[in-house]
Amino acid sequence: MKTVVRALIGLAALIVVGAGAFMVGKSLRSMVERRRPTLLDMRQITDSRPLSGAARADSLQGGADVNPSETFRDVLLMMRSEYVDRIDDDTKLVSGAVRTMLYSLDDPATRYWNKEQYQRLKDDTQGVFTGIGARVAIQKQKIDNIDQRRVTVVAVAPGGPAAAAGLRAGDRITELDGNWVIAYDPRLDLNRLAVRTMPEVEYRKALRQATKKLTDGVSWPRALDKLMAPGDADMKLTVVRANEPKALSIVVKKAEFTRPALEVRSLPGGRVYVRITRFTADAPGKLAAALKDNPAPGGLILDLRDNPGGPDLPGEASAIRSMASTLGVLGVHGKIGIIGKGSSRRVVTAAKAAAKSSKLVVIVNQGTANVAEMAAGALRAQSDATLLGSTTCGDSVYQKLVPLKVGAMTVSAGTLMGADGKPLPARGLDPDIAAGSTVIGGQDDPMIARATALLGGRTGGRS
Amino acid sequence: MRGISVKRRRAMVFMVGIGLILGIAMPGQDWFESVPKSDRHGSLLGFLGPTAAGAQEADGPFEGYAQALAVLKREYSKAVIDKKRERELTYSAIQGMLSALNDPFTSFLDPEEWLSMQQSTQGSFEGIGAVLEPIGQDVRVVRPIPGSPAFKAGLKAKDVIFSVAGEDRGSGKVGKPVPTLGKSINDVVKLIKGPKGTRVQIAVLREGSAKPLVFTLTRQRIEPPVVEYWMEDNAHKIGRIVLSEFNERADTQYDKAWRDLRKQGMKALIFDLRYNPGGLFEMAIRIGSRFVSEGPLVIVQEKNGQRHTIYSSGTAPKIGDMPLVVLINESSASASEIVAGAIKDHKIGKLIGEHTFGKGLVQTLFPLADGSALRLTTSKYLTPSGHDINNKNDDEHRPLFGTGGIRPDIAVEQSPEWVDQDFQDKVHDTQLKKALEVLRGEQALAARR
Repeated sequence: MKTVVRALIGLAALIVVGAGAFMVGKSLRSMVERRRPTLLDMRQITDSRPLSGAARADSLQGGADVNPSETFRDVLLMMRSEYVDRIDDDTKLVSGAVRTMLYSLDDPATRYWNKEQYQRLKDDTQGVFTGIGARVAIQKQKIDNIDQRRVTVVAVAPGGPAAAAGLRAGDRITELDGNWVIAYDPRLDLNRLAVRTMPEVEYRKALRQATKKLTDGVSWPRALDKLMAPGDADMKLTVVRANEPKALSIVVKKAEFTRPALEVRSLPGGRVYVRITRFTADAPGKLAAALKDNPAPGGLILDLRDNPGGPDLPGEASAIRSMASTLGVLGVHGKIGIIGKGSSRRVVTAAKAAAKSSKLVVIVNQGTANVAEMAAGALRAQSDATLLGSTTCGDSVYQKLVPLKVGAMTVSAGTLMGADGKPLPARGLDPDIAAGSTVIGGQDDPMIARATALLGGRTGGRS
Repeated sequence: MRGISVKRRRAMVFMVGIGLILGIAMPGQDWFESVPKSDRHGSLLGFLGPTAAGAQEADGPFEGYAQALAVLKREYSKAVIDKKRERELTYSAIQGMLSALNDPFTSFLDPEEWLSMQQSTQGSFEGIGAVLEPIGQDVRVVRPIPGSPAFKAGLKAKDVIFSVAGEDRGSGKVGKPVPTLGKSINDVVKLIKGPKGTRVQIAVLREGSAKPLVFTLTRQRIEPPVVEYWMEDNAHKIGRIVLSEFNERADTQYDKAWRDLRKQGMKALIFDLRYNPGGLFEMAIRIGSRFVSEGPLVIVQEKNGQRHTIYSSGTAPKIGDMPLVVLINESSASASEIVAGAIKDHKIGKLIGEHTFGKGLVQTLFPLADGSALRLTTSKYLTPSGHDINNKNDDEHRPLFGTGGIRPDIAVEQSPEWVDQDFQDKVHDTQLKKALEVLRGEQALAARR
């Protein structure tokens, strides 16, 4: 199990070859029965060496019949009765346990959200932003034969601090306030060096440097937390951007701000421009109301740029439910769905059209992710929409959020399917017409003009 | 919004202890056409099964762990959560829970780690007797243990393991060689180790030879020395004892070294505790008693804040008034600090080198029913004069180095040219040179009197 957790722990420990059969003398059970164990029965040690923390359960034989949850409970009992200091913060124990357990799956979509993080996530789905005002995701990539985690900006909230500072979707954040965001275990770099022939002193030096790089770095969950945490501090980001030869240094001033998830604008010629930056609970209703007032006889431009999709939350704030209802409003009546655990299928049926749509252009970019991509794909397949812009993100994880007693967890609970019944392509959806712009929304956005031209190019609406 | 619709089948998920029901309040259109079977039942209730009863299990952390595990079992789509994975997840959860204590010395040992820990404090095992370390994608020999099969066969430090062919028990034949490039050190160790009397064939790459060299060894019971000793300065009869670890054999091996050096006429001693990470608490007391013939050795502070003093047992052989230098550095920790601290407080010898690591905590190992173990900090200790050996922590629980530990009487920085732990290098070892200088000076002073 190659987890970052494991990588973080300790220096290369020397291991002595060999094994001796040693009977484990005391079982915990008998100790617990005696209430307080006699410490003389136990070994008291003072060793300062860090141990490898990786759970290597594959060699288990003897205790295989013991229910894992019993082991957890036993550890908890011993901790409570014998630990040198008072343990008065159970919340930390819960979050530590759940966070690390989920982290060990090495799946960025499956993670723990503590109470504050969960609240921020809920705010986020309501259109309230804190932190730098951008959605950031972890992407895994194999570079130089090393699995690397890349902290990547998925979408920049319009009008937010990140947008003001010039951060863009696709940017990769490599440093936070001067600290390296740990992308991999830098000790693996030693593989590339000719270690077999390397002089001892040089090898030790390289190992020390790599270890220092690791211990000074910021892990990705911490990086995400720092980027999202509320406050008004300046954050200095080092950013690697495609087509930029050098890394950029971008200072973002954090701020809390609210932005409506839906923006509707009437354009000349009976056209309507709708931008959806989040699939919030009220988005479909608002869209329906707007289209009732102005049914867009000249065609509809749906802007899904920098719409990150999001997890399926219980209750109102589910991105996928909001998206399904939105599709219903736009007249999609086919099926799109999710491939769940054990390839069971949950099929989203968007019901009868509230407004029978006119001609439709959907603007997408690299920040169009997850259920937003699903929406774009469905609209193209079932409403004959033209996709304008750049290739979408390619995030097909159906992420479900489950509240826990303390905080919440998200879990990869399936794969989002395209209109063709297959999983959304991992490389994203290609647009029908490729174009790009760094200005998003507003009067000067060339993409809106482009979309308007596309609508104008064909006469009459679809009926 | 058309209000709440509860038509069709709905997903009902019961959470133990919260009574929260998800999936009923769905806005807008019905959008679940089919729901996987597992979603219709609260699998958490089933999971908890017999252990769900009783007040202990209502404990917050247990509940949090059980709840999250149940969600994974029900929902996680990227892998099947079978028994093996459940165990791995549980071990990770335990590690995470322990890490919330912010105590780097409290940890969970899975069965494999627990076994190797026992071997290292017990001080003997069956194998070939080579200390290995990972290097890049390879594993190489750090050093063969003197007298071991690896030593006798001619394995050398820095030999890179190329392949291993082991003999299965009783077969009498060595199997097919398994290449080791890219294998973890644990896996390589598993290939090499085995019951005594069986054979293993190891091919190594060595600098200067084009082809791998092949060695066939017979596994034996190995008792690696924890003490090395020699007469460092024969003219001045200054002996040196290097103790690398406080394991179960530390006191007997120390005594043997002491007697041998006395036989050779030793008049002064350099006791080298550099890079000694500690070990068994009991052994610190036994070794400490060799130096401090009477009086307090260490003060132990228990969970409830109660302190008790542990006194020297006064066991022979005693150092008496023989001039003594103790070499310490920043990797001398815990048991080493108990001994060095007691020697300093009683003014029995001079401490030369660097400010030590700063770990004044005792861990107790609790074996668990499934073969794993919990290593838990159960007490703190102070030097006889009441000096707290443990480093203080900052607000984020990171140790503030230099706030604890033992300060040397004479601080000497090590030369960068000295390769770590090369105790035989007498040319670059500035701390050793200082020790010799001090002891020779004391002898000269004594001679003048």
